[in-house]
Amino acid sequence: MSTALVYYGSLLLVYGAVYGIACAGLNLQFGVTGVVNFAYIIFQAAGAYTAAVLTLGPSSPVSFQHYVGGATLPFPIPLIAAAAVGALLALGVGLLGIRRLRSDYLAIVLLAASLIATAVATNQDGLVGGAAGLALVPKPLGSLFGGIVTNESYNLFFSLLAAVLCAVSYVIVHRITESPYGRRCRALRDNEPAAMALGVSPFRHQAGVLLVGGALAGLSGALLVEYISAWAPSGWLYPETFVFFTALIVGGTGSNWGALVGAIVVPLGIGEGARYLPQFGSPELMVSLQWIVIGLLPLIFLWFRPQGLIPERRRVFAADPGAARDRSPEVTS
Amino acid sequence: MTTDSTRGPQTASSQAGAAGATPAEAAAPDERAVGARPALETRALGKTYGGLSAVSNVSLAVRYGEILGIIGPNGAGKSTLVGMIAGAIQPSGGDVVLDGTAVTGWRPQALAKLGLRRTFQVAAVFPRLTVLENLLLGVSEGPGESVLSVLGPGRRWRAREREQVRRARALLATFGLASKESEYAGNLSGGEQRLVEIMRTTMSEVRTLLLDEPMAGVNPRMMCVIEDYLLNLRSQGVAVIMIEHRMESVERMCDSVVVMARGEVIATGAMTDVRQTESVVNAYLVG
Repeated sequence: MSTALVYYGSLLLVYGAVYGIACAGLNLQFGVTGVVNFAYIIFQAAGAYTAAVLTLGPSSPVSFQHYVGGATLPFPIPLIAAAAVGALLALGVGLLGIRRLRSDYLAIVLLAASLIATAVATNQDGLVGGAAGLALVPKPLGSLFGGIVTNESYNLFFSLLAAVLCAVSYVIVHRITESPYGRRCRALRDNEPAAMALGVSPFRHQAGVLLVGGALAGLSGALLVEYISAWAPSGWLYPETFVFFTALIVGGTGSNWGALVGAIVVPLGIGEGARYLPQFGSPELMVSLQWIVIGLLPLIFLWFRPQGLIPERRRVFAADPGAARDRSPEVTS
Repeated sequence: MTTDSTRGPQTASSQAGAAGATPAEAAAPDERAVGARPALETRALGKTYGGLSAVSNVSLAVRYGEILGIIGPNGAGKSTLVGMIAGAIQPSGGDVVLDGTAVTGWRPQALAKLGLRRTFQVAAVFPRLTVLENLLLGVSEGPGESVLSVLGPGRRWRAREREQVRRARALLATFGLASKESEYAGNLSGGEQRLVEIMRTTMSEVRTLLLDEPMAGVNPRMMCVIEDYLLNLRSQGVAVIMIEHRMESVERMCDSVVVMARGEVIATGAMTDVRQTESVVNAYLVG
């Protein structure tokens, strides 16, 4: 296998894992619980900035980039901190709205929060590097590879790390969605008044999925910034959230496998697929066409295949095992 | 479908007896004794929307082991009244007292924890969940109901869920829906959805039950099953408030009725008495 192919394959794997983790978190919030989180991208950004500043070291007055809270913490502390910041920020933003607002109004508030966050990060130069963002973020565990983090071995290592984190994320989300807690989340999504009448607390369940989803968003951002070594506000504008929503609608809202497939088909597939198309017009035209496709896909899927490519699976309980065997009624698809 | 008419349908509560009493059954006998004290009271309850009075000054009481019917023409304020009792609508005035506790303005989920369950005027199922899952949602919270317990080691909730599945299946068999346990609830007919909603309310801990037109859209044979089922609940000491337009059912089941018109109570008493009342006749015939 050629070196170029190894690089490209590991790049696809890392990006696929990053998008997969992010989509798993949003699926838990939106697909499973019905929380229309239009601010999802800011939790990914918060995780990325956290991991970056905790890896870059203290900000120096003579440096070209300025930020708060710089430190040099060893792997995996920056990743854990990024997940924690994503979770707490998501919970904080959510707490402002979920107690008081109906889901559609909450979506508007969250969209506004996304716009505000981008504006603050862009215009406060000393916060997280301003419009230029942060760069030269050291890659994790480079010392294990003799400080050379551009060779094949390191890329393979990083892609494996990303894949493992993605798999762990899906195990977490799967355990939640297949539990009684997940069932109550799905009930809230389907009919909130009826769920409340059965004792389901929207606040507690929505706060829980905001926490877990925010952590996964933060983790995905941390993983990405440690791979590409840079992060700037132009990379997490509010339309990026809609890319994730498109991924879920295409893959299948409420379906964990669907979220993974959507993550591969939409952000990864459309972005990479455009490279293989014959170039015509200006480069900006190609980018604009990608956005048009991302905008059209939800409409097409909601019209022709609302359940997505991999629909949310029906939870069928095994036949009554009988008192003698007393087996658990395992859920099968 | 077969039902033993002498015993009435097996309820979740009665089946639970073998495995352990539900909180409703575990309550002190003197509290649950028929006619001992009101399970639920409203005192001068009212609701206004701007200048429009939807419900005005409604006081009623239902005791454990009693079925109270609420009847009246469309627009009388019956569903608004039930919505206020269930915490879904904030009252403009008056009080709701549940088992001696003032619960006015409490949220529905808090009332549910006290054993108050309700059905809706339009059957409220969870359409993307299966029928069996709909029933399992009627069970009160236990292990596996928090993020930490789900992500932690072990799956203690599995054993509890096994028991719940058995009970849910027994209920489905009683109502003739056993073959549809894996069907999405959204794919059922309106009458079947109504049955699912009623079964769900009694999966556990029901002490006071609010039913908004339980017979609407249900076929006549199944109406008899529902009637038997509710009478069985009554015999177990459950207090029931039931809005219903089908007078035969009201007459057969309700110990007393409250008649509402234009947001007010215009008559109370036994069905045989109130149907002779002039104001009731006028409300139905004149509006």
